[in-house]
Amino acid sequence: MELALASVAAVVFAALSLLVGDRFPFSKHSMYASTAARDNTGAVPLFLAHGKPAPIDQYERFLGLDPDTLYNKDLPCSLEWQIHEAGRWMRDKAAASDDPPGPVPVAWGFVIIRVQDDGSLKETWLQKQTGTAWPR
Amino acid sequence: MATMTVGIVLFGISLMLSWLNSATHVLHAEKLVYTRWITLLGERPSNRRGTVIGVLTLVFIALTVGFCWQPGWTRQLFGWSILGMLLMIRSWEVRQWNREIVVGLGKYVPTAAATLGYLVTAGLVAVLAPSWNADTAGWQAGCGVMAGSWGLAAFAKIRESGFVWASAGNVALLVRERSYMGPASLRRLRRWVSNHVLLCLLASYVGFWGEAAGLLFVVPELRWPAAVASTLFQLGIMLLLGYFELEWIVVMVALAALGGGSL
Repeated sequence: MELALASVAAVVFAALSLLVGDRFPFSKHSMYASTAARDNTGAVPLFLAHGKPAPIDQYERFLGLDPDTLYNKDLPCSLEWQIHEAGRWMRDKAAASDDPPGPVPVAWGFVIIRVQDDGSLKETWLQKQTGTAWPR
Repeated sequence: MATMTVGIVLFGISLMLSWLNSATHVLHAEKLVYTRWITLLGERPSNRRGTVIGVLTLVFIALTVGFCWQPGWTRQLFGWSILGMLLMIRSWEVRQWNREIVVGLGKYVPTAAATLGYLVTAGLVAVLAPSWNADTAGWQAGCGVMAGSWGLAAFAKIRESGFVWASAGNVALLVRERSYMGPASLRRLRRWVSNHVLLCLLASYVGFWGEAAGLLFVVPELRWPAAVASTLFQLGIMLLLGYFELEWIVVMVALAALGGGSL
């Protein structure tokens, strides 16, 4: 009887989740479900300072970077949350457009990773934006 | 009896983890909270929400203690109140962003789902089948909900990617993408793993079939093995993908302990 009760609960919960979608406390649990449909390509968002990867929250003002066009869904990225966070950080701390350039040259772009025929991975850098920033 | 006590205490801890997850995200919403949340736990918030979150957390702790104290109608009362508070803090967290970005990128509440399964089933059994042990029936349903969650995760992969999800290339990409975040030692480990096709193939099979095997959590005799396997699975996710899903570990162990009773 315990097995039957648990099985009914599993089926009812799964059915309701598929029916109502991601509404508390139900969920379709589809995180990373679509990653294999990316044609063997991935994209890692990166913020560079002085040409090297750097934590974006070490900078408090940004000039020349457009937070609204960091990602146009044109790349197979499974780290969108990092882009949303970086975008909001930049937006909240944007310098006035007539400010002089900041002391640190910065850039925004993606490391494009491709699975080769032999299973190895090849990385290339795709630069999207450049600007300057002020360290905190 | 001791196992049930350990189980209910762990379930209470799991409820607290669920609350703290969203509460931390609300408290430090202006910072890189999803990137840095574990290092933000000890930081003072840079907004005025600290007092409100502090008071609400105390209320939540009191409700959780009440829920864990004893089964019966009081557990129903405390349980539904807990669900209400989890819904509230989660909605608050979601509203920190435009649209429903947080939900769309994956926001799971396994302990709340298991609590709902428990409350509905225990309530129904208490009314419709009073000769049964309503508390035991509730925890059986809680276990069923978790099994359903694992099954859904595997089903979503088939639906959106097909069985090709379990391929070395897919996992190699996922792991390599995360070799740009986290401590240097983990970044090196992820880069090393993603360079080994056989390891990635193994991880892909464990990832996909491991989730599908979570359905076995409905079988009482298989709950402890499933809980141990789930713990190892989540530790693997922490190491290779960098996501700290402690709530998923604790709730599975708690339910394995709570789901051992008979009707």
